[in-house]
Amino acid sequence: MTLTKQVAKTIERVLASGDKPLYNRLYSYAMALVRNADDAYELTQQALKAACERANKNEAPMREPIVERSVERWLFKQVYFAALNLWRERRLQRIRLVTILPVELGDLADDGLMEDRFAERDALRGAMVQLPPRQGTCLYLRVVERMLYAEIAELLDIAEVNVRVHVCRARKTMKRLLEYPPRASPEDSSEAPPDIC
Amino acid sequence: MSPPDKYASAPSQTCRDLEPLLPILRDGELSDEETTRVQAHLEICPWCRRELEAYEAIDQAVAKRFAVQMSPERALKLRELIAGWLSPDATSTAPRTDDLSDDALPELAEDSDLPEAAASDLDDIQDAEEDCYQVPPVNCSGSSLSRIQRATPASVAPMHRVRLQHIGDVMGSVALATLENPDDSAMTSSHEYSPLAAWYLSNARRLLRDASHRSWLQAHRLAARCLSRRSAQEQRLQALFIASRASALLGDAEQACAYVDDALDLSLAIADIAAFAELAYLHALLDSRAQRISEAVSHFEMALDALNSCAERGDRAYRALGDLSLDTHVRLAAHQFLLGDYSSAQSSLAQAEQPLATQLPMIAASIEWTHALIERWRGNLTPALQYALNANARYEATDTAVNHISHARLRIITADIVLDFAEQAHQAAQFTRSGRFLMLAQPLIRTARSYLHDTMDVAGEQLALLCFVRWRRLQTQTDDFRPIIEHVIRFAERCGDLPLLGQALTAMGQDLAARGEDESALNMYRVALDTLTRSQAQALQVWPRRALLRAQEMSA
Repeated sequence: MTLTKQVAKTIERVLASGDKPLYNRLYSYAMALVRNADDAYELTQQALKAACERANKNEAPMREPIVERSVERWLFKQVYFAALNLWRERRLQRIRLVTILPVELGDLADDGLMEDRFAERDALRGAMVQLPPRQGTCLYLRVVERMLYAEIAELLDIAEVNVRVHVCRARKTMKRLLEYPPRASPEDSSEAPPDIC
Repeated sequence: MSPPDKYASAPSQTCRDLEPLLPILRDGELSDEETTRVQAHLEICPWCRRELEAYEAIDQAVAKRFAVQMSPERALKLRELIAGWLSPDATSTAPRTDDLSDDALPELAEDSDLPEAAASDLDDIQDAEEDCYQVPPVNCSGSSLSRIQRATPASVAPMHRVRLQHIGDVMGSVALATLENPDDSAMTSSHEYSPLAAWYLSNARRLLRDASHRSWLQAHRLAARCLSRRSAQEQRLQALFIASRASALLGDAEQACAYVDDALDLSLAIADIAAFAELAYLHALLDSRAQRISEAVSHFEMALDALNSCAERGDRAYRALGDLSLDTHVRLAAHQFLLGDYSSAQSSLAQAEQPLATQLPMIAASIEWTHALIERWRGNLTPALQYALNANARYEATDTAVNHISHARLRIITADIVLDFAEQAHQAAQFTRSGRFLMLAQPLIRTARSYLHDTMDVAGEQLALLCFVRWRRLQTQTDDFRPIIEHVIRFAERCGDLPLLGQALTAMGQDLAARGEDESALNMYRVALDTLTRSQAQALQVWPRRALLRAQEMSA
């Protein structure tokens, strides 16, 4: 079997596998990153298209050996990079004319980011949005995708110990923002230990 | 307060020691030793057990909430796309959703076989934009033309009227200008009038109003399709107009300018002066976004000439463009100020200060803002502060997301004026007075930075940083602010924002001068001056130029 066929077969298999097909998981991940259904769909498309293009070019989208898990990880990485590009693009679009002038004088239209930020009503999403992007991404990949710290580290190109710190901080922040129950009862203790993580 | 003493008997097993491990315990990534320690502690500590339960509850909620699913239609479409991408001839057939070039559009049939072309086009578009808008019946046969017309009556009648919507909020809630053809019968009676193009344009206009990247892409495609077929000149004008708006929204300013240039030529060819005015205005906005200030000024002036011509001719389209004239005057004044033409800027502001402007709070705020800048640049600090405070009050009275950014930027301008006062007092050795001004500036800078950070206005944040550095330098002259200013310089270089770069270099010069490194400071001012000359923002050259003149006077 040629490399192209191998990769194509692997892609087809990962796309069709289980009750949670990979495209849905990629889409879900993209949604967590960009919080917009249209953008998430675009990112998913971009990642899958990049994989198909590499398959057609007779190149493996990841290092040998081609296994489903590595195809998956590669695709998640593509979504992450595409989201980074999107963020960068959007942030730069916010630069307007000359900063000493009212923004509306150089403005054509808003890109909707602010509304997205302000209109957040759902407490859980609201808390997730407040996390720094790295922490939110690490928490998502760990909790929803059940990835190992080593896999997350490889995907985000950071050290494993940093993943551990990001996940830990993300959970603590989420707990604080959501004021998650257990507030200790008087007989247990009145206050939580200070944050030393 | 720490947990109860009974749990702190052994230091290695206190809640405080183990608490950082709780959030990641269930991940199974702790060492065996750590896991054993934590589990042993959990058996005796109800407080930590509850903490652990809370983290587990958060995990469950996140896993449930964020595992979203694609809609079945999208999933189906994606599968089809993947099948296409994996096919051997995928390179030629794979559609690219982000491709703006007309080459990506399918070949369209000639008008002679319109019904079939319409049917295939409609099929195509429905596939691509199924959930974005209502499409007319797709199963078109011989009578498709009349069916399309019946299905979209609104697209035919008002097709001469394109509404330019921008969220600038300058006109209250939403500013609208109108590209209007005074003689709609001329268009529909034209032998080249295309109902299919009318339908494309109608849907493109609707898509353009959506605040979504995907909708703008689709609007651009529809306009490009319209341009690729034979249609009436007025339809072509509108298609160019929509294509330019869509390109601008998608961030392709050069492409947008090219469309507007074509549209300007066409509007002159068909003697549509009102359309010409709007297009010149749009071109000026695009220029100003690309920091081409002198081009923006000339396009604003062209727009005003065209508007005056409409008014003189009693053109009925002018009535709809009344607000546009006011808006253009304000924008022109701001750009003239940037070019250093203060007297023209003031005369443009005087033209804008009509009774109507007072009814439009954002216009009035922009006028006062520009006045504040001019007065500050002329060294009249008291009126400058008064204008800035008035503008602040107007922004406080309104509450929209865009205004938050402007308001935050205005706070920085106000803080800068207050710091000018503080600097004057400092130089006159009136330190108590200077301290009062510094106290006044502090909340302005703090709230502005917080707003700008929250609204992700990165460029505004850099301006706030420069103002913060200035405030800190006046307060304590010992700190090293170079890393902060270098950060702003790097950002401005990365974005190619020359006015900001010039401001940052000027700030660096001031910092060096404050440290007594006079020669380096003068060199820095020269670099700033050079950068600002390239940027066209001549007004900003005032500060480094003054510093250089002062240095020359002192050496003389």
